Amino acid sequence: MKIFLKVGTPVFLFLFMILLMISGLRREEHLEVEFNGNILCLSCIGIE
Amino acid sequence: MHRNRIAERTKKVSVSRRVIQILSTLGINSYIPDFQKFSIYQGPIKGLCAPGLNCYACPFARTSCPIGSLQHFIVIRQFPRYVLGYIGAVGVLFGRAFCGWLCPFGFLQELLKKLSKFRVKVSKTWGNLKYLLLAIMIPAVFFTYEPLFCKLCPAGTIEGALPIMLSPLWSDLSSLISYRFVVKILIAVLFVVLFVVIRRPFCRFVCPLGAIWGFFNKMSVFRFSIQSEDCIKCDLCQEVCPMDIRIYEDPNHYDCIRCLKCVYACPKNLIRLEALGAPVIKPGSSKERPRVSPQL
Repeated sequence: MKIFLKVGTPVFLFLFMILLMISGLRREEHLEVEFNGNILCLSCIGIE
Repeated sequence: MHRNRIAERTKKVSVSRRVIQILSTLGINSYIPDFQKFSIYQGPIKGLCAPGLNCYACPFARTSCPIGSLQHFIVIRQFPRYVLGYIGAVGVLFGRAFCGWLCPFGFLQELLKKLSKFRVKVSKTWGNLKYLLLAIMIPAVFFTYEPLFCKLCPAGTIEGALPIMLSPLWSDLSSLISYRFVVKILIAVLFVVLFVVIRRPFCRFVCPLGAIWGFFNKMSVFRFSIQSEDCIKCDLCQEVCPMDIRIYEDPNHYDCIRCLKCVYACPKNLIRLEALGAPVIKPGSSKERPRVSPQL
């Protein structure tokens, strides 16, 4: 049981996270990240 | 005397880590902007999240900041599957290892700490501040429609604002300066001073990305295990630790950045790195590293 939890938990979580990431990629969320990153973030440099 | 001994034992892993940190920092910040016109990188790689905290307002940055991107998705009311999946997948695989090996801001803190041998010990309670910031500042973006953490983040000031201040673009932007810019500069100055006297203070007390990855330390694929019954509590592990952790108290502490220095510093070779329970780095197994007794 302990070994199952030790191995199973990270494997299950990793698959879940990869699926979450792939579903985000299928919705083209990386383009939204790119769009946001392409604009100079004035909050980051402390300007309003 | 024993300092030289520890340095000798941890030299190999320290050099390897430093090389990887340099390559990561240069790789993430490999864009050379045209300083005459001034521009930030606007290409497809910006769609990728950086493997650590690296401000996307930095003119050299090719990737996006995961925390900045997370806040952007909260502002536009969209569930951030891609960003959360990325942060989660890295966390499940490596825990906080990216903080120790790839994060450019963590690397900067380690470099500045080298300027002084003076060391201030800070209460472990301050480590809870990053969870408070994560729990308050990131969800608060939902109500304020502003990237609140970015407004205070010293990484933005050091990596973004400082290079921009030296560029021709600054003459246009300087008219927009308000008290917030002064506050941000003061926060950055405070942190730079802290970087010199405290080991990785931003990572230990503030970084929300580190806080998220830290949650995964206890369930990640790569974990530490320790034969605590044989531990002599010499505290050499804490002495070499960039996060000031006593690894024998909790081998998978939330703050552990898996720098592996403790693995090599332990005089009894009790700490080992495992992947899903199988040893990956087994201390004392190499001919180069025979078992030695501590001479303190």
